[in-house]
Amino acid sequence: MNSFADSDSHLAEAGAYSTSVVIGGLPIGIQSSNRGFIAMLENRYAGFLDEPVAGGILLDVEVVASVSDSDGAEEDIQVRYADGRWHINRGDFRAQWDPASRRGFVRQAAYPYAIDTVMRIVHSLVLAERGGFLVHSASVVRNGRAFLFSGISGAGKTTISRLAPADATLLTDEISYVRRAGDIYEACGTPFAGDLGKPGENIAAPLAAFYLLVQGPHNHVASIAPAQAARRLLRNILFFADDAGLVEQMFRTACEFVSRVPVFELTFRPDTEVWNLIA
Amino acid sequence: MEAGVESRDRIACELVAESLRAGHDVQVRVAGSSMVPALWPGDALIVRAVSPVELSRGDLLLFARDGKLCTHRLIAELDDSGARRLITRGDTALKCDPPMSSDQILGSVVSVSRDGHEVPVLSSRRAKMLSFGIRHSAFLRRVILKVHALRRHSELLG
Repeated sequence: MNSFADSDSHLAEAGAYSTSVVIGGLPIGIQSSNRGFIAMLENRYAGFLDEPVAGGILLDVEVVASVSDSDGAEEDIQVRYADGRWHINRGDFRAQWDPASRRGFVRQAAYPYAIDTVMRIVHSLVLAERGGFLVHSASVVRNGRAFLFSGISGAGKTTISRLAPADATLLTDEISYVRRAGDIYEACGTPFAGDLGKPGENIAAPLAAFYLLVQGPHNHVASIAPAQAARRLLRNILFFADDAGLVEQMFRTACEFVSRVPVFELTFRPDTEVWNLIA
Repeated sequence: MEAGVESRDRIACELVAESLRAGHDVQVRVAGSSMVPALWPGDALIVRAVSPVELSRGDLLLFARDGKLCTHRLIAELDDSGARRLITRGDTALKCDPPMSSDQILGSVVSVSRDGHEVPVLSSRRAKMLSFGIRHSAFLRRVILKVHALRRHSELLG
């Protein structure tokens, strides 16, 4: 694995090509000596690009033929904090990120899934410190208010997104970005697409309600007791870090979130009528 | 207190109680100073559900009070017209907590960790004397907590 001393030696060449991906108002600069890799990212994250920000988060990416014998994308990811930085490893990439200097290094093959995962994790770590989170859910804005629809794979996140009225704006059908803004929570668009295969719009809106999806024979909305809501929310939050402090923070965040945002269980069948119950 | 924060604490209490009832150990973090020097702010406690018949004087018990989690020491048991009542008190508190029934107890502390290291729960004569001093002197409490915070800070900085 590369140490940071190693990574520093890559900076001169790594800086040849760069881009900046802004999600939830947080820019992450990515630089690499591989022009094709940066071009691929600019295509993938179109709509979420901006000029690099001085002093912002910066990831140096070393593109290699392969990191290990297997592609490793199915292996469990490991995220741990040691020696003042986060170590983020999976079979198909090795990464480190120093939250103090905001610099990081990624070694991966020339495909987007590894850097996609690293960005999600960096966002989840930054959000955790700020009382926010990434969650497995679709999110949609209608009439200036955001609605989240959460559930495991197959629960209906993409289906409910597809059924949204024409005046609704999709933020994502896969991974929602929830940030704290004073006394409220906001949902932000992400480029992380699910089965819809379509990135969300790069906008933010105050969160009006959080729905836990269940598919059933009838459309029905039911309130959920806050403790049950927190427990079910925690199941769907993307959180990888093996870190007791952040686990405590995430527990507090989930309790705080359900005390401020209405949470419902939405049983639905796949027809547009369900949206009459939502907004 | 903000309404949301109060509600958040109640939700946390419910989740902790639910987990303990389901047979899981739960880690809680000490926030107050009512149990110094046995427990210090920042200590991590592992709490386990406990059967009422297993309770004994000196145990550190977790319970909910006014929507917040609280860990105090069991100091006495009373027979209230056939009903068993438990009396708890913070080691540095002047007054006992209101009597509780055993089903109000969420669990008992089984281990204490300080800065990542498991430590024994102090109940020595010296600790009792220190608790007594803190109980009767707000100034001593402030000084001891300040010294503890400074010591932790310097240890964290290495």
